[in-house]
Amino acid sequence: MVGRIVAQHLQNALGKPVAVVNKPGASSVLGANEVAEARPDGYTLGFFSTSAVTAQYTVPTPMSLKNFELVAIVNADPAAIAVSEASPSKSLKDLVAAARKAPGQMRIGMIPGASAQIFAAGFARAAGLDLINVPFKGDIDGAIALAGEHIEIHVAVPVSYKSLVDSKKIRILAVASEARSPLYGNAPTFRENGVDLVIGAFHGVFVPKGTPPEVIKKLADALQVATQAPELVQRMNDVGAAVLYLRDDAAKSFLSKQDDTYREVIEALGLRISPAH
Amino acid sequence: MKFSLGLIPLAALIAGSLTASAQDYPTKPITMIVPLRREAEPMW
Repeated sequence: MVGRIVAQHLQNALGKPVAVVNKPGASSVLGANEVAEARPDGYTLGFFSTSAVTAQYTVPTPMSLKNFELVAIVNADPAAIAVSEASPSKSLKDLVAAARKAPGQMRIGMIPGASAQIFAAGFARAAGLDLINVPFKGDIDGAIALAGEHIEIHVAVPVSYKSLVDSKKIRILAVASEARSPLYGNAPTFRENGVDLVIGAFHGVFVPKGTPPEVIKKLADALQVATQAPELVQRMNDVGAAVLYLRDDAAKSFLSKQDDTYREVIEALGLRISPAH
Repeated sequence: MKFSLGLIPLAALIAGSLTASAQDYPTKPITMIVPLRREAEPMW
């Protein structure tokens, strides 16, 4: 959804159609490899999520971020912990206390091989909890299972919870950001609740390695215009997603930090199965 | 001599056309690939 919103505004800024093509498979690796193998002429872009970083380590794949040039980061949101509206836990602190009293009994929904798996494992580790991981195909079906009380906890970015929060089926207890934000209903941070974890997901635009710098600059300029459009900001905020525009060194530094953070957590949790690049 | 004279204009032509194509970019529709983990991807 974020990709389509960005594509529409990128098209306005560039004056040429931008067609969005979804490429499913192999934990995002199939689509990413198609971008890596495309002609580096600026006519094939990749709209990558955090999975592009995690898939380097959590799936046995030759995919590497070294095969791409980063044009810009366009969005970043923190991980969030949600419970059903009927849950007795009114805060993350309550939830952690309840989970500690029942080790190995509470179920947390997440997507295996995706950033949500890292969120779930990172949360359990930071809070010192023994939880049962329940795999789901996507965030939405996991959130629906949470609303139906088939699991006790779910972790994802807040945008995945928007409709169920609005319809009062589930509640976000906390977000893993540095500070509260009105975009996420001013939900308290993990740290405020004694859980020292700051982690989230992002989206960025990439092109194949070897794309001319002039083309990358034109794309970065166009994305800057696109992400400043009030209509784009409004549409992103309406679905609960934050706009974060970074280009050049700031974008590279952000990506490198994300890569380090994820690799560290993935290795600490023993989830790394792919070899080093 | 004939050989090198033939190469120089060709190289200049290629270099010129690459620069021109980057300067004129974009001249045609762009494809933005969104890699998904699998078919049942979450909406965001």
